[in-house]
Amino acid sequence: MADGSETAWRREFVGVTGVVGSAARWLDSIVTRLGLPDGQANAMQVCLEELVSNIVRHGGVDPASAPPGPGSDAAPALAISICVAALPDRIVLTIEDNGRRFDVVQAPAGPIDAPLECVVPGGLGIQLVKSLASSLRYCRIETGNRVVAEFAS
Amino acid sequence: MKFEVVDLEGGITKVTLAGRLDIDGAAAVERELNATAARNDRVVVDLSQVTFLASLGIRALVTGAKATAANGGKLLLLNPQPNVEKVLRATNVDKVMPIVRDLEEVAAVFLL
Repeated sequence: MADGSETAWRREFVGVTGVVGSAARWLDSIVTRLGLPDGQANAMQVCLEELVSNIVRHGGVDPASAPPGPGSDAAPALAISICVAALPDRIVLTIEDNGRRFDVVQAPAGPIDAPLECVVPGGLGIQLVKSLASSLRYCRIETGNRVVAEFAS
Repeated sequence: MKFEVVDLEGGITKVTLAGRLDIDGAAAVERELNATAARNDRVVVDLSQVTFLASLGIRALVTGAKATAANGGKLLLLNPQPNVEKVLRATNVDKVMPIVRDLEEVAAVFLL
C-alpha cells in the first residue's frame, strides 16, 4: 500500500487465545521487512506486547460497542485491529479494540520506587509503554478504544 | 524458553534463561524460577541469552528476587543484552536487583 511517503500494514485479531503471540510474530515480520534499527524495533515490540496483553487480560468486551445480533445470546468476541504505518521519520502503531474503556495515557504508571520488600510484582507494562514510545495518544471511538504510539527513527 | 540451573562455587546458584521472556516465556519459567529462588540465598539469573523482555517477564524476576530476599539472600541479574537492559532500567528493576557483568562481579557482590 505504498503511496510514496507511507507504507502501512493492518491486521485484525479476534478472540483472546494466542493473540499476543500472533500479533508479536506479525509485527516481527514487518520489522524485519523494514530493516528497522534494533532499538526502535524492540521499543515497538515491547509496546505492542504490553498494549495487546493488557487488552486481552483486562479489556473484556464492551457490550455497548458491539451488541450481539437479534436473537443471539452470545457475547461479542474481543476484536483487536493493529495498524503499522512506516513514515520517513517515524513508525506509527495504532491499536483499536472493542473492549471496555481504558485510557492508557491517563492510567497511573511509574517505575519501581520502593525497596524490594515493598514492591508488589507486576503493573509495569504501562510504564514501559510510556517510557519506550516517543509519543502516546488515546481516544475513545465508536467501536471502543484507540491507542496511537509513535516511534521516532 | 530455556531454563537451566547450575550450582557454582561459593553457594551461588546460577539460573540461565534463554529466549523471549514475554507473556508466554514468563508463564513457562515463572513457577520454576520462583521455586529455585526460594530455595537459595545467592542467586544469579543469567540474562545474556534473553532476547526480549516485557512486563510479565519482569514480574517473574521480581517475584523470584522477593523469594530469595525472604531467605535473607539476594538475586542478581547477569549480563543482559542492551534492549533487555533498557527495559530493566526504564522500570527501575536495576534498583532492586543489581545488574552485574561477569562472575567476578557476582562473587564481589556476595563478598566471596
